[in-house]
Amino acid sequence: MLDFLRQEGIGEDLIARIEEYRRQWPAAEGDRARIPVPRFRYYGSEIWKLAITAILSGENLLLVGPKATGKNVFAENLSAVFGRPEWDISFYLNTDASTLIGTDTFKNGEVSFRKGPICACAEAGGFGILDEINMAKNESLAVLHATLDFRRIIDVPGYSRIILAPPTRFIATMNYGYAGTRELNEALASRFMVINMPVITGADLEKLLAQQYPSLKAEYISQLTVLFEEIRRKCESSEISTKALDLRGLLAAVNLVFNGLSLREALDIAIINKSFDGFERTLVEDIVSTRINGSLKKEDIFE
Amino acid sequence: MMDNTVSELQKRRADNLIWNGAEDYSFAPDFKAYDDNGDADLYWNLIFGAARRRYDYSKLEKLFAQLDRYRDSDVYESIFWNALEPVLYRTELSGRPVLESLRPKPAETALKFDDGMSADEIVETAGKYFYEHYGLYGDGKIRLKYRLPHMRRMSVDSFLQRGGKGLYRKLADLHDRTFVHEKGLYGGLTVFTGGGDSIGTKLTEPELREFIATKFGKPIYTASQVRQLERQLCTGNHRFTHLFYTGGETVELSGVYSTFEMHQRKRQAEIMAGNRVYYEKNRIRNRLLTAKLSTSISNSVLLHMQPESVKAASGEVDPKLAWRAARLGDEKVFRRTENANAGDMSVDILLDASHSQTRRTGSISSQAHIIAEALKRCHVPCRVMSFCSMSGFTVMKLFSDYSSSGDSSRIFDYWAEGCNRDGLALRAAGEMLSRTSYEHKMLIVLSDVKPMDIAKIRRDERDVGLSYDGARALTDTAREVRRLRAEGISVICIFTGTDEELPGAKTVYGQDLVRIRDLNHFADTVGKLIIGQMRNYAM
Repeated sequence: MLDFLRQEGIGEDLIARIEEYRRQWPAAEGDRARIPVPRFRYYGSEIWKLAITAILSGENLLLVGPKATGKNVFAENLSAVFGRPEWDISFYLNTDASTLIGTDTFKNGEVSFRKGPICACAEAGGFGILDEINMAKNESLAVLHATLDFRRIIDVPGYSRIILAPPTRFIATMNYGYAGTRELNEALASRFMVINMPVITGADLEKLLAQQYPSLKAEYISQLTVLFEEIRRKCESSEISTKALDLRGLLAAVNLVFNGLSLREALDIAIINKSFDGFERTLVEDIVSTRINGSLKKEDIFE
Repeated sequence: MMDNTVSELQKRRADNLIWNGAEDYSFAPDFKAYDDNGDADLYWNLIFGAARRRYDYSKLEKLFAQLDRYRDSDVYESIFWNALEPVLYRTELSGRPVLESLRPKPAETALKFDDGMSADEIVETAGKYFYEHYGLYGDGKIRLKYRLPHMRRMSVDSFLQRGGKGLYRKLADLHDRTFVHEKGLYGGLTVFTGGGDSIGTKLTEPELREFIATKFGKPIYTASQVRQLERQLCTGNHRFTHLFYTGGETVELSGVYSTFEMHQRKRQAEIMAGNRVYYEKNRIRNRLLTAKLSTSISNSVLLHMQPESVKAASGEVDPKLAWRAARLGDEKVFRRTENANAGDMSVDILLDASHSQTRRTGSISSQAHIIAEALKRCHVPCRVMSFCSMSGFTVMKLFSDYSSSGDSSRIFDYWAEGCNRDGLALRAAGEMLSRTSYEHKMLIVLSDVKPMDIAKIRRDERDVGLSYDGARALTDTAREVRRLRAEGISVICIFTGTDEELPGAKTVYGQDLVRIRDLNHFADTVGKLIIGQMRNYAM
C-alpha cells in the first residue's frame, strides 16, 4: 500500500511518519484478520494527503460526498495504509446507544455486558468506520460525543470507563442530501475533520478500471469511463435520479462480462435496471445504446 | 414526423440524446429526429448534439434563420444536415465506435463539406450551394429562374424528383423546430382577464346562492347546515357575509345567465386544460420533484413515528424479563422495536383562487399536485381545497378529500376568479379541520397573501362599513392564523406573490412561510418546511 501512496505522489515525510505509526502500534495478533486488504484503491493524492495528516494528528475524519465518490473505499484504504484492524458500523434509523456501545445480555444464567463495536474498536485501537452516520438520529449519537472528542473515553453506566487505545480513530461517511438522511448536528460535526470527497475524475476512473481488470482493452476502459461521465452529467442536470450513477455497478458489469455475459446484458442488470422508473430507464438505455455495441462479448473487450 | 404524433416523453428523450451528444445541458434543442413510430431517433439526435459540440453553433443558427425565411426551409435544412452528417460521423467515430452500427444508410448529397471546415466555412459553403442550386438569396427571396416549383404549384417531392436531388425521404420529416411546439403548447393558456365581481348585489340571497352554484358547482351542504355554519363562522369582521361549500360538480345551465355563463365555462375549461398542459410540459421534472418530496417526507414520517417496544422471541434481551426464560420457559424475553403507524396525521392544502392568481394557475396547480401526490405516496391523508370570494360569498371548493384514493388530477380543475377573504376562508378551513379526528393537522396555504373583498366589514345593518383590504385585512388574516395555531393546527404558507406582497405575508404567517423562486428547489424547500412541522409533533 505504501508503494501505491508513492505512486500517488505522497511525500516521503508523510510516508515515513506512517511507517513510524505502524511500528509504534502494531496490531494485536488476534486482530490481524481485521486489517483489510483493499480490493479497490482510492485515487486522488490531494485527499490522501489531507486524510493522512489528520489521522497522524489524532483527529477523526468525516468523509462527505455524493454517490460514487469512493467514501467507503477510501476509509478501507486508510485502515490498510495504517495497518489497523477495522470495525464497520453501518448506521440506520434505529441505531441507538446499545447497538454502538453494547448491551446487557443473558449469558450462562447471568446478566453480562456484551461489548458493541465501538467498545471493541476502542480497546483494540482500531479504525471504526461509521458508515452513513447521518442515517441515525442525532440523539442516539450523543453517546459518542465523549468518545470522539479530546476525552477519548466510553462511559458505560454500571461498568468501568473504557479509555480509547491511542491509535483508535473513527472515520465517518455521509452523503449529504441523500434521500433518507438528516442534518448532522453541530456538536457531532465539530468532533470530526471534514473532507469533501470529490467526484472521481475520468482519469482516476480509467486507472481504477485498469487496475481492477488489467486485461480490459484500453479502448473499452475509455468507453466505459465516458459512459459513466455521461450518466453523471445527466444526473447533474436533474434529467434522471442518481440511481443509475453506480460505480459499483459499472465495475460489477465488467466482471459479469468476464464471466460470460455480453457487455450490453451486463450493463442492463448492473446499471440500466437500477432506474425503476420506466422513462428514466429509457434515458439511461439511450446513453448506453449510443455508446456500447449490443454484440460486444468477453473476447471483444478483453485482451 | 408530425409534431402532434410525438409524445412529450419522446420529445424529452430526444432532448436528452441531443444534450448527451453535445455534453451540455444548458440549451433548448432546435432540431430533433423521430422514427416512423414517433420514437426519438438515437443516431440523428446524437449527430445534432455533436454539431453543437464541434461547431460554433450560433453561426449555424444564423444559417437556419436564413433558411427559415423560405417556405421549403425543412427541405433545405434536411439537405444541410445530410451533408453535415458524414463529417460529424467521421469525426465522432473514434470517440464513439458504436456509431458505425447505429448509422443508417447515408444520403447522397450534392452539397459537401470537408472534415476540417470551421463553422464559418460551412455556412459560407452552404450559402453558396443554396444560392447556386436553389437560388436562395438568404433573405426570403429566390432568384427568378428557381421559382418554378411554387409558381407551378408543384409538390416539393416532384420538384426534387425532377431536379434529381436524392433527398433522403425520412429526413424530410426532420424539421421540428421547438418554437413550433411552443406555439401549440401555449395555445391553451389564454390568460383570462374577466373581472370577478361584475354581478350587482341587488339579487336576494337565494338567488345569489343559485348564481354562485352555477358558477362554482353544486353545494355539498344543505341550506340549514350552511345557516348553522354561517352563524358559527360569519361573525365579527365577517358579519353579513356568506359561505358556500362545493365539490365542483357542475350545475346544468338555465335562465338568464346561460349565455354569459356558457362563455365563462368555456374559458374555465381552457384554463383547466392549460393547467394540465403546464404540468405535462414539465412532467419529468414534476415527477422527480414528487419522488424527492415523498422520499423526504416518508423518511421524516418514519423518523417521527413513535417507536413502540414489544415483547418478542428475538431482538434485544430485556434483563427485566430474563428470569422468565429460566423459570417459566418463556422465550419471549427479548424486545423488538416496532414503529407505530403514521396514520394520525393529516394535511390540508388550501389554494388561493382569487383573481390575482389567474396568471399563475398552471404553476400553483402543479405545486399543489406535487405535494398532494407526494403525501399520498407516504400514505398521509391529504385534502385539497381552494377559496375565493364573490358577491359577499366566500366559496370553499373541494378538489379531493382525505379518502379519495388515487386521483389527484382533479387539482388541475383549479381556476381563479373574484376576491379573497383570507380571514373567513381560514376560519372555514379551521372549522372543517376541527371536524376531523387526526391527532396532528397541518394546513398548507398557497397564496399571495393579499386579502381583499368587496364585502365590507360591517357592525350592523346600517353601518356603511370599512373596506376589507390592506393592513386591516392582513391583521384579520393574521389573527385567524394565530387562532388556528392555538388550536394545534400547523399552518404553513407557500407564498406565490411578488416582492411587494412579501412583507404582508410575513406578518401573517411569520417564519412558516416559503417562497418558491425556482421550482427545481421546490421539493427541498417544501420538504424542509413540512418536516420542520413534523418535528414539532414529535416533541
